[in-house]
Amino acid sequence: MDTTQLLRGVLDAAVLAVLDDADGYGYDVVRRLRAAGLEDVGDASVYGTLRRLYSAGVLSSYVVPSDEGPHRKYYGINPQGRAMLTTQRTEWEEFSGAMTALLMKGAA
Amino acid sequence: MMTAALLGHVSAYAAQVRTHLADLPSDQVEDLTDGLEADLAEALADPDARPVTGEVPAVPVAGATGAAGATILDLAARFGPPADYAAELRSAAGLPPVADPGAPDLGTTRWEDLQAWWAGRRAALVSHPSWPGLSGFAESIRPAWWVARGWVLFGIVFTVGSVEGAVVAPRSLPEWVVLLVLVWASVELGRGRWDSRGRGRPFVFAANVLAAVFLIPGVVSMASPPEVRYVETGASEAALIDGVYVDGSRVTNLFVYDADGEYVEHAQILDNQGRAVRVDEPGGRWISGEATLLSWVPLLDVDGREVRNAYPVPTLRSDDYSTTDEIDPAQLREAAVVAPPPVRSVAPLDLDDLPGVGSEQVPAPGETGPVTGEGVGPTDGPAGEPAIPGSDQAAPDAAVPGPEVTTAPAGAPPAG
Repeated sequence: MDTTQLLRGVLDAAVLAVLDDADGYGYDVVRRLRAAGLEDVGDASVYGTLRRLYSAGVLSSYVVPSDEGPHRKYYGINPQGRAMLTTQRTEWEEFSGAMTALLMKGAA
Repeated sequence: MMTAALLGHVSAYAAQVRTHLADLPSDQVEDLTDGLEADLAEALADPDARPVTGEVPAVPVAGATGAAGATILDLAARFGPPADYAAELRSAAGLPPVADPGAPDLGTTRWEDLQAWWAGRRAALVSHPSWPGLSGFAESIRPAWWVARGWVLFGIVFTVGSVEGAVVAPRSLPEWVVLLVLVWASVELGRGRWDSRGRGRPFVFAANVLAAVFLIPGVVSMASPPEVRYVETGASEAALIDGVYVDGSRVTNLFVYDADGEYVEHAQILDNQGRAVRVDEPGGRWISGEATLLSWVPLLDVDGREVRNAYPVPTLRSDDYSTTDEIDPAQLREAAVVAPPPVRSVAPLDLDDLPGVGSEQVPAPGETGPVTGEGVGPTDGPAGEPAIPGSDQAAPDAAVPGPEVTTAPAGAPPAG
């Protein structure tokens, strides 16, 4: 199964979940997603998703200057983002439960 | 720790990514790539990192653990081509992909919009419940359309070169031949004898459109023959301008002779209904043979009003193209001349052998103007008729029967 295709549908929820733990900048979010097991997540996909969620008004953003090099743009989840995450958690539970039941029926 | 050389490579890669987003508004590009350099640099410095764009196969990044080395300097091998990176960025951000990377996105053209609209209309029409019946009917009358197409094209061809208005039917043998050839060609084309799918297709399409556009006007022209329209225009023009014609050409002046055959210099002429008989034309007449403009300068009555039916009318010949409207009337009057009569006298009338009776009022005091209409009529009638064809034409009813001449003046005073 092409996990990049699977990721595409759930990346919003994954990014929101990561930011629900703590604010993060672009590559920081990528690294935390990979550490969580989403090895195939693409850098640019995460960056694009961050911008889209920010445009949708579910993330806040602030810039932190860096002494060593380019500045970093941090993102944090806001109340609207938390509401969205709650909805997506419910949807995922239902969806994954149904898929698991469907796929594991024969295997069990 | 980031070296300046590494930062330079990162900036170059980020710049290339931005190039591939150039079709977006600048603030959107800025929003998408803000902090990109920092993320790229950190990704390069990450010991656990690997190529992750998804579009490029995984490449072993042996030197990634070090701060320098050939592998990390080739950022395209690490992050994939900048174009792919930009495409992934915009797709994840929910922005439309660019059709031709590097070229500005112009959206759909009007022609494409039109084609899409037409396809939609066509689909709606074809899927309509009444379509099969309609299309079957249209299919069965196609031969009639083929004939009509040939006929309309014939009409267009010959109407273009015609001065007599729309041509709807052949007027000569060659035109018959052309009509039949066009109809034959149209029918053969319709039957599919010739392949109209190739280069000839635009011409067939153009001919169809032309024929469809001119079919209705052609049928209308056929329903109303050109003769009718000719008479209509002719009648309306004739109603506007008075005139006297002799032998088919327009008379420019009249000369009156009395019963004794003597020339009467100032005579007024009425017709049998008491209307002034006039030969003048508004704006004068251009005589092209002599290259002169002939203008009429009518005599005046005692009240200073123009009496346009007092003959002969003084005239003015001018080789100027301008009309007399622009000339001072006083000057005009001064320059006008009374043309001499064609003959001093004509044969006197035999007053003992009149066809009728009741012509007691022969003496003509016509000088005083139109108030005394009784005097004018009789003078005009009997005297003019035998001598000058012009007066014969001017008042044909008055000239021939005597009684009618006398009845005419009775009705004249109101007109005067």
